[in-house]
Amino acid sequence: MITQIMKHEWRLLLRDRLLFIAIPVYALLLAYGVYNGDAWRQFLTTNVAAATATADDNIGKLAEKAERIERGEPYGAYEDPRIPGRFARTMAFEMAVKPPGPTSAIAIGQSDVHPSYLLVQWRAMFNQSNTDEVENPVNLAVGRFDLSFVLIYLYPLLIIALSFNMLSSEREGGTQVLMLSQPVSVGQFVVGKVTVRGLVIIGMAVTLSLLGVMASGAELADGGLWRLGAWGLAIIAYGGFWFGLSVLVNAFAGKSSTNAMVLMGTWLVLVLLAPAVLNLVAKSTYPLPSRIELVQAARRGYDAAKREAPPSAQAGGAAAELASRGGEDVMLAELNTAFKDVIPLEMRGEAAAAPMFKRFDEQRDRQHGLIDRLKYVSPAILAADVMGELADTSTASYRAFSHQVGAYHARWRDHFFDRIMAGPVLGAADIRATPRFNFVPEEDGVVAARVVPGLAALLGFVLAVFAAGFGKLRQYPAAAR
Amino acid sequence: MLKAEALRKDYNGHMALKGLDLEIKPGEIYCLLGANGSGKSTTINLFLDFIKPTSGRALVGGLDAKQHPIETKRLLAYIPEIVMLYRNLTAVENLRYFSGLAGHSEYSDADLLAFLERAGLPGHAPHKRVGGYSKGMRQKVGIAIAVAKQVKALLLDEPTSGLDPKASNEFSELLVQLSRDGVAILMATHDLFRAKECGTRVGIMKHGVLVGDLATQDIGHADLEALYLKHMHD
Repeated sequence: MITQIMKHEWRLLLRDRLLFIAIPVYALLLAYGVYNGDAWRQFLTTNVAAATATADDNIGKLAEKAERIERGEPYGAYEDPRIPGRFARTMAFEMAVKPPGPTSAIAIGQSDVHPSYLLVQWRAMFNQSNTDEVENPVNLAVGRFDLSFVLIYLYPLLIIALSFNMLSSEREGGTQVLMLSQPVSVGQFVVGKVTVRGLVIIGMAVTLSLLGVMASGAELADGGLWRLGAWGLAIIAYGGFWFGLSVLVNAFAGKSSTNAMVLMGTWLVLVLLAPAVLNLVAKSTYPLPSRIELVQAARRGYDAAKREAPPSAQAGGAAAELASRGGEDVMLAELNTAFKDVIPLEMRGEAAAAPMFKRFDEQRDRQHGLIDRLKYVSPAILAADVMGELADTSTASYRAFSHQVGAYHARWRDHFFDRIMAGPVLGAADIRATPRFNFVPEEDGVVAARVVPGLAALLGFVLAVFAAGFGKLRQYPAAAR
Repeated sequence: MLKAEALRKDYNGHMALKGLDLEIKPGEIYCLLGANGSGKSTTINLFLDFIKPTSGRALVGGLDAKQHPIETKRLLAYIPEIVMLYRNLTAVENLRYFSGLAGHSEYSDADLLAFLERAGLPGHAPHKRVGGYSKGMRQKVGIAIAVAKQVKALLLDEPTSGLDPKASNEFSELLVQLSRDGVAILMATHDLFRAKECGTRVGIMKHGVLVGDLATQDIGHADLEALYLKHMHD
């Protein structure tokens, strides 16, 4: 019976011009989204490779320079990379990179605002780049036209366009009485109608996006397979929610125009307003310290450190003069002494500024925490969140990266601190042995633990709207009065 | 075959049907007469389970339509006053769909064309989209849909109101044929002439009450009209 209804609905859809306009546009949007996501992924891959190459090149050149100096070639005082303080503080740097994940082409997500590489040297990390504010993934997704944008924003619109009048059109067109005088329940008609539309719209979204992502070179072995599976499930669940909502709205037996208005209103609230309101709530509940306060705190710390600086700390400026007067050894010793004095002072300055930065981090974490708890208010936020996680471009994934960079920065300091304080100069071999950053992707289990609650909640929404819709259909009035 | 037992329908305080008792046996053509709002359509809608009775029962083949909506709909066919079809489909496609829903997916194209022809649809029309059909042509497709369903009971709500006299006459003949096959027919109509011509019984309804019920063979055209008008004026 349902097969017959499906065949019939399919024939009606084929005879309707809407499908011929909507479907190619929809396919084009999906394809363009995949193309853009893939282009972005390639851009990130290139950037990451270039950043790593810059750091490699720099350390390599500094090691070569040290070798030349060791061989006795003449050099300028400011070029000597062997002074540990100078090497670790200004000359050497590492580019800590986060390579795009195996399925990153599906959602640009937070990769739009968070750098995929961070420069690490001696300076405190909070002076470098992590003072960005929390942004809502849904809002950010609008910034770039990727697959998740098409799916979060446009996909529900197409579902609404093809299903808002699935029962009301029968009622208004007068076919409802003949339809309902047959030995078939309204529920069966709705199942047939939703299944055909779902197969077309959800089927296309799943097929095109999976094909596209696979064509873009997703590494399936590398945790890509379960991610794509979960991605497919998220598309089905999110689409299912909108179909379920359409069933519920149609079950009230209102006019087509009313249905369209109610569904569009819901879209507006869930997709556009809820994320913005959520963002606003998080920002006003846990306001971040102002950027000016941060800058001033850092400046006050350094000023205090500078005032306490012994004269030797200024000696670096007179290195050339020292070299000309006392020879190389004197100069090296003087410079080392200078760093020995400067670096602990700097660290004290940082410690003075640290509470302010800590508060910034804590507030930002609270904002993230609040958003994470409140994301359950809208299936659109849930879907965007799940898609970001699966693409490895979520806020959480960038926080994990940021923690790794922080740990690496501490390692960088630990590694060089003793050398600075002990005084011996670095050799070319030491320079080559500079600890490097190795990005460790999050374990699949960790990502899955963030995906599962969102996906489960999304499925919960689907069940709820369908249950309410079919419950309401039991009282569906066949004859108007 | 069709039986109303103390059937009542109350629409938010307006009593549309005040305890109707009625039985239509196989082979009978029962014509319900009455002014607009007298309860004729309400009666038909109750048999179709399109509305729920406030009290009483509408039985189709002994089954309560409210309790067994799917089973009772298998036993009956319905032709509304204005048959509306899927305008983007042809008459054959419309008929095939509704027949399929009724459980007759075995019909060949030739079968479907024969039903349409029997209903009086012109030969050039079946493969054209019904969007361009006149009301009368749509009505004939509606008749074909009802006939193709091969049911025990037929509910008709002013089915001839859009038909020309010739088509209306052909329609009456079709009803008589169906009744000979044992179909119980309940037809709401304003057409006293048609009721007398093809009906075996007529009932006159007024304000939700069946005020007259008589066999057509016992009364002439003029008497039926006089009786009807008398009831309307009371």
